[in-house]
Amino acid sequence: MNMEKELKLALQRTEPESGFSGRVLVRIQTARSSGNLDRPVHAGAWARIAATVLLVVSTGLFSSHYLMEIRRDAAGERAKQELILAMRIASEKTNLARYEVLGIGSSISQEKGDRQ
Amino acid sequence: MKKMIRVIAVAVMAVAAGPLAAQPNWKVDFRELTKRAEETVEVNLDGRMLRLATAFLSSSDAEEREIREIVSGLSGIYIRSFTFSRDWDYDKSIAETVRKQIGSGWEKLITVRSRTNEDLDVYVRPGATALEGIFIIAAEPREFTIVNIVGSIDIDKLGRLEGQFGIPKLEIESESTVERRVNR
Repeated sequence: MNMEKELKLALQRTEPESGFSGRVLVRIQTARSSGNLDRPVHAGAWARIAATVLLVVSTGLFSSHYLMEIRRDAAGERAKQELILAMRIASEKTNLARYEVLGIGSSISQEKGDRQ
Repeated sequence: MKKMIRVIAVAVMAVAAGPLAAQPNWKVDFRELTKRAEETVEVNLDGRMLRLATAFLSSSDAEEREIREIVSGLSGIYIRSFTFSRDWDYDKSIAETVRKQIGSGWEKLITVRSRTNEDLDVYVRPGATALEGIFIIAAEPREFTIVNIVGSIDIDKLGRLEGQFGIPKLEIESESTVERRVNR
């Protein structure tokens, strides 16, 4: 029984203190003038998302440029090695021809010397 | 297995030159030679690849500077080289097939025919002031090589490379058989 009475008393309507309405209105005015009430709640999230996307895109661009540089370097090194190999073979065969000519030249001179 | 690895490595090098790397205009089927060869070398360096390669040559290294100098006037280097495990393990008539591919504008400089050693043909393309190309066909007992260099080339400088840059000096046999003709 006591519980019922206490409950009734607790839930009974009471009038607010004087000036309560005025104080609430002032607080609303203050919040409105600072813009806190009008800004959408998720605007900050969109800005963060945009910044993240920008960061990812620029990182991606930088990475692909970097990868292209690495690939170009690798291709250049391979081409250089091919060139060195080509020079080795070309030099060897050129000198083979040169030695053949010199060998003929010296044998011709030797024949001339033998005849004289 | 080793042979396969070498062939694959060289083929990768050729492919890695890029899809735009030019092939020489030879209508010669090298498949049989490739099948029989212990090692195959294929080099296709057109003007673009030569420029790329020379960009990676070191300017502080004397030998690489020399190569850069030799290559500066070139527009292409094309090489096919086949090495065999036994003497004359290939059909020598391939050399004649290649000779037939050499078009006008090329002059025969040297012809060497040997019964036991190499057959050698050297063609050059004369230019106004310098040679504008060289074509060498070397049919040796265990190696068949074609060298085609297009562009302004100094043969003396090219020959001097041997012994430098890790390129071993050629060991020439002192004995040789008779029957040699030299066209000048």
